[in-house]
Amino acid sequence: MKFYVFILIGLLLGSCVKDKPQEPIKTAVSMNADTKVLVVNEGNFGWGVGSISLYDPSSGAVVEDYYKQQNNNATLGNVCQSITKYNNNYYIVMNNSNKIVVVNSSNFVKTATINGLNSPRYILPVTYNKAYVSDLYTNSIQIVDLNSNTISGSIPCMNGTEQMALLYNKAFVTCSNSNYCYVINTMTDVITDSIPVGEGNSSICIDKNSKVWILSTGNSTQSIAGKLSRINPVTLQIEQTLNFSNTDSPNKLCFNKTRDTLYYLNNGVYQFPIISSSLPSNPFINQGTKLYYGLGINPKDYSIYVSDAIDYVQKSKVEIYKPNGSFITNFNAGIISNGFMFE
Amino acid sequence: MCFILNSNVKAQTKDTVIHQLHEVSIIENKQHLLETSKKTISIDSLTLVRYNTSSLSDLLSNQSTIHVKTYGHGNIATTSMRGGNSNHTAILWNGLNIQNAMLGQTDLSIIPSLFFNNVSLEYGGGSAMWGSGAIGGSIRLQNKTLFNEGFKTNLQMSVGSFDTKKIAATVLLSHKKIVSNTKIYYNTSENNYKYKDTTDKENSNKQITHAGYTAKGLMQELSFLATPYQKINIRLWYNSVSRNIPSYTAYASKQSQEDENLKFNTDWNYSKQKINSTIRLGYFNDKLNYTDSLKDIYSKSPIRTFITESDNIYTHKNHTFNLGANFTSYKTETYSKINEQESRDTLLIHKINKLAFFAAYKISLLNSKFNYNLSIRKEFTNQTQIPFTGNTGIHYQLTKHITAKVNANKSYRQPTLNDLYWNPGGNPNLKPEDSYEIDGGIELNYSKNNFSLLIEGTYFNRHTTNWIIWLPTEKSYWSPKNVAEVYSRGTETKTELSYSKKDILIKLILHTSYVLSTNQKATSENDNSVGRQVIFTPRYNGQGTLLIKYQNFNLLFNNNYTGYRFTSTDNTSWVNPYYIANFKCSYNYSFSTINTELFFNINNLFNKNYVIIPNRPMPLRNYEVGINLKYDKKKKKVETTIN
Repeated sequence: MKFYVFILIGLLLGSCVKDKPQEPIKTAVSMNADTKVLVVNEGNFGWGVGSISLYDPSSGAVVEDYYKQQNNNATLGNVCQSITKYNNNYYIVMNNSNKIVVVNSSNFVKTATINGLNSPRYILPVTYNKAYVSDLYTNSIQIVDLNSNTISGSIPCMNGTEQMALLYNKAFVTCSNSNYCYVINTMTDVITDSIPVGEGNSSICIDKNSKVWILSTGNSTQSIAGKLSRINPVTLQIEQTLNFSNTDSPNKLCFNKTRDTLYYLNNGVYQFPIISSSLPSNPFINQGTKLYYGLGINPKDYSIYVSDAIDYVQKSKVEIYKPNGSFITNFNAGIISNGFMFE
Repeated sequence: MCFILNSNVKAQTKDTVIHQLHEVSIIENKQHLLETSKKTISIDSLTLVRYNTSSLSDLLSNQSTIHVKTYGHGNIATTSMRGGNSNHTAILWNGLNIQNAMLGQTDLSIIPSLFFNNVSLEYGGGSAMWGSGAIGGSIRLQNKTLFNEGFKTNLQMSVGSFDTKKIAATVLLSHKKIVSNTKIYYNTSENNYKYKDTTDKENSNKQITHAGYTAKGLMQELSFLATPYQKINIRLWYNSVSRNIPSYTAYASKQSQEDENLKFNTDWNYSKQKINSTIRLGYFNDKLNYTDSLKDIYSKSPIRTFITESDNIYTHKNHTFNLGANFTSYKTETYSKINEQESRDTLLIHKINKLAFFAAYKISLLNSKFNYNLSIRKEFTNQTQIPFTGNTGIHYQLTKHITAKVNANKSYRQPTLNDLYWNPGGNPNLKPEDSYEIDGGIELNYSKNNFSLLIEGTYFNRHTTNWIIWLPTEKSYWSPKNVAEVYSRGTETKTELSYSKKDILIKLILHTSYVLSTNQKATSENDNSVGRQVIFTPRYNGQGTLLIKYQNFNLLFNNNYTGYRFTSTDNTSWVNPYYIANFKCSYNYSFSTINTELFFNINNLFNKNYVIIPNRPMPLRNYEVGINLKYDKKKKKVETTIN
């Protein structure tokens, strides 16, 4: 009898592990350091775990959730899509929380919230204290007054609007739900033109010659090929179109500091000098089994930052490469890192 | 299991107060053969009655160590047993698996507890008996027929917090050879509960909006004793739930879901001397319509299931043989419409047929103290190769008070229709998930005078390979792959202490589970999930219930603890543990032939603020008060027919 009782107790107590997980160790990274990198982490949809990580390239120190640290453990919200700096503020666009959180650029403390948005993606300051906000589900671009941090109007537009760029009082608005990029006159807030740049156009850059580059992802499930287009911002004519294969899904177009070489993701990191007349056939950095999701080029040292979202349900691994493509180091950021801001 | 029955039978002869405990064991044949070597828990009938106005989600989260993943009160609730996913639990209605083959899971929040008079849990893999999906365990819902009980009718009404109103009625007409049992209910709630948002320091007191629901349903059972050896059961289950899905952020879109389930099940049983044969038929029509106003999503996912099964048992002395076949057919017509102006409508029709053969053998030796069982099952389908599954176990009564159980099984889960055909990303080349499990336990049973004690400790160890997970692809969509390997092991305990004398019954029930369920294989170079606990799977879970029945007074005090659950595969983020207590009491009073029961429930007694899934708050303390009018015209006592 006793023997069985011991077996029973043994079963109950055997091999238990401590349930309380270990809290992350807090590291101090100064926001006033010369070089710093902000990482935008979307977080899982619906779980309210969007965050901004802070990385110091000189020491390698990381603050995984910088906003939480600087704002009394408050969380940013649901799906952090993008960050934009304007005047002395950062504008953090929280896609699924339907808001833009405004923080002071020196200490990252929240100063205001822009509410009343639907599914905001990016913010583009256009004229003094006026900004446009693109939106995934609303059939308009929202106009925001950056003085009062309120919505002051809207510009009717197809939904699915994404990244935007400003040049010569024209705002170029990409739109992933249409084949067109829209051009808004920033003085009148009216769409004046649309440019057929292809299905799934969502990233935009302006080069050193003031030409507009737009990357369209295409739609690989419907065998629609992506495109890279160069647009003359004055005539609004497409000067050059480079076609991808219809099985590709190119995205996340960005420039180096001198704005003469484009980088993008397409199952690996690709490098494209703007003087080139054809798309590169081989990746500059191989992806392997990883899942590259965010891309950025540090203007300080031309180093390439690329994030591996892994399975979308764990901390992203941000990898840093030298301008020649050789690996330097990596660090852990938040969940689903989609982009970088370099200071 | 058999010991609980014994003690109940004993109690029954002692006093009529405990009449409600009496069980008529018309159990599924296959189950009868094998369950002795597996861990099973039957929800106490006194407890089950107290959850008459609740859903299965409330019942199981309070009364078992199954982890019920609830996306907020009244919202979708799925299960995790022994470290498995929601699609690793089979849900069996009178022996037929009702898991939605498209989603691979069943929403427990829309199944009313009222519909069943027996709810039990079977731990561990059971594919040899139940086919696909029974990896972590099975939930068995049964409608047990009571012949010759006379006429009983019941009207139950309650009101509760969040503008909740519930009404239910049951009518039982039970004669010697024919029984009709009708149960209907209607529930409505604004479900606009308050909660504390711990992430929002400035404005933490919030209220859920757009969460209301209306649920209604019917369960009709008919049973006939055609001859002394033949019994026919017919059961019809209709359920319709319409609910709004709250938005926990400022997201302005209105989402809603409508579920409509029609389930029909009939069986014919022939039982004479050595032969016991059953033919079962099932037809399920499950509809799920989901609407999202802002995203312009209108999705309809009806699925029709047809099951037919022949199950035969032959007994010769101490040998029992079982042989049977099952044919199951699923048909779905998924329709979804995204962005009306772009008219990207899709209509997908898919059909899967499955044919299964199963056989089992059991031998009882040493005056039935030693029982050995072996069973195998082979399935064939038009979709993918399904492996042989099997189960073998020993149930050995070592001494008068001690029983040992050992069981080993190989189980599997077929990919869901969504895994196979979701557009885009569905992978028609998926293989089934395989699991190998062994478990063993010791049960101590002791009763003296008015006390009885039961303690059971179980250890299990399971490897699951080809575990399907959806992974991002190089294209813009996700696709499922047979990549993960999960190692689950742990211990479970069950303790029941009861005291009964004259007009008092006190019962203490304690369940604990400790489960380590870890990922064993990296899916990519930077994957940091190896050796980490599978997400949303608590390691610790404990639950205790105190039941007191004294004269006309009933009391139930229930306590639950659920440990940390990780929300990221590298285990760097998690949700906090929660401890929840619930209190239920009732008082009976008889006016001539009408028995009036007044009941009062307090849920979340200590007003704990908690979430089960991140960002999906659960209600704080809430109340329910109601009345139950019973009319019972008993027949003269005749021996109950036991099949």
